[in-house]
Amino acid sequence: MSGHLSTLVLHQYRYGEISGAEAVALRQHLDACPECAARLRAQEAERRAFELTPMPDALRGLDAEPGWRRFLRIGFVAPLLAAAVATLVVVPVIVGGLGDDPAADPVGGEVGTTRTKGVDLPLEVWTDGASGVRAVAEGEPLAAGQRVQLRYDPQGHEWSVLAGVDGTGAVEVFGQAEEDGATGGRHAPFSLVLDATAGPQTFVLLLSDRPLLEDELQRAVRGSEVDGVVRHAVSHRKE
Amino acid sequence: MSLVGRAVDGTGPAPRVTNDAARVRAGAERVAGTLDIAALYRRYGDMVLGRCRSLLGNDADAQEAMQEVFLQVHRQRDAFRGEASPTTYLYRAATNTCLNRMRTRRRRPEEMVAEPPAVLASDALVDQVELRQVVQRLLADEDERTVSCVVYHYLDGMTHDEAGALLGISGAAVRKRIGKFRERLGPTGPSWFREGGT
Ligand SMILES: [Zn+2]
Repeated sequence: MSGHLSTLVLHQYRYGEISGAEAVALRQHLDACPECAARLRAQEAERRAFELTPMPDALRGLDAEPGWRRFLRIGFVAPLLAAAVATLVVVPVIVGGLGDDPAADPVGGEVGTTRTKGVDLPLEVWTDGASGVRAVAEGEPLAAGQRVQLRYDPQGHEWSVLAGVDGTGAVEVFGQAEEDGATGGRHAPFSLVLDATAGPQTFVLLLSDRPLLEDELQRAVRGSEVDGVVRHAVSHRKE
Repeated sequence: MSLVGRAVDGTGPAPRVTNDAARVRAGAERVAGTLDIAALYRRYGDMVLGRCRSLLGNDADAQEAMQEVFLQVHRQRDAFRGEASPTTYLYRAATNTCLNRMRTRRRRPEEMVAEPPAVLASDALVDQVELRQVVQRLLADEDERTVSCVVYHYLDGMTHDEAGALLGISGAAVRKRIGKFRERLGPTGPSWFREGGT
């Protein structure tokens, strides 16, 4: 119609979704067009007003609903999430514990990952220690309160699932992601803070070429064979 | 690439335990478990609310519609995850939600808001009050897709191609629908409907 920028394009620009030549052209338009510049300023003003208003209770309560608990079930601590919201870092608290028996495998299934140095690992636990960020070594214990992040390799699969199993055998599915079919290590887009449930903490990576249903996912995490699912797991005792 | 190699010899890009915001954003929409509605709301709520306000015309209705949009995303996480642009998805979802509400409101005139709609003139390419009234009328006899075409094109200033991309149809199809709509409207519609669109 008028050759002006659409309302949606202005939003996308604000949200940083437009880049490259398109962004350059857009900025040129904004410099030359007081009308669109004013509309962008109005959006920014609405943004500032919005930031001052509290979140509706109906949305705040969503985290406790089944759909969300499905992924972050155990020991979920709201204040941690609230603190994380600003950067979209999800911080579930894994119920883990004091590792009285490092050999115990509450999952009951076979551990698919052999930790051999120098070999590609599909699933690793990373942590930020005093000496910087590093992979947690094989046999190295984890501690309650320790923040960890999973690093995994989808190995060309279409879908990956990251989950944890605590010392009581409780399964917590952190998330299921659609991958780009590529190979290569990547950090999960969340970090985890371990809490003090007894027993070893196991982390599980499921790889598949289709999204998994909840019950398949639960079974596969626990080590049952599920058609088309490759399972990798690493266990660390808790101290 | 060898993860262990990196871990052992420390080469390669430094991994972070806490991701930077951009990376987390990119990932958050792809990982169901981290599809955090609260975070999504904080990031995109202003856009969704603005969209609802521009169509519904009053703040109370817009607030309700906005909540409905995020509740819907929460219910349909899989669909949301498949979307490349959260902005596009939410904008479209908000538009559909509002049009549905307007349709329902039309059937129950006693529930129509009596107060005059607030005009967000700064974000308007056309007279929004007038357009809302036209959209409200359109919902009676035009199909949903045509109404969406009209809203995206006239209210939001999208080109036919942009509107088509959002609706999953071609720009030519949008042009056709709007052309037919203008024909039906005849000389009675607001002037800006009758003027040529791009
Ligand atoms: Zn302009």
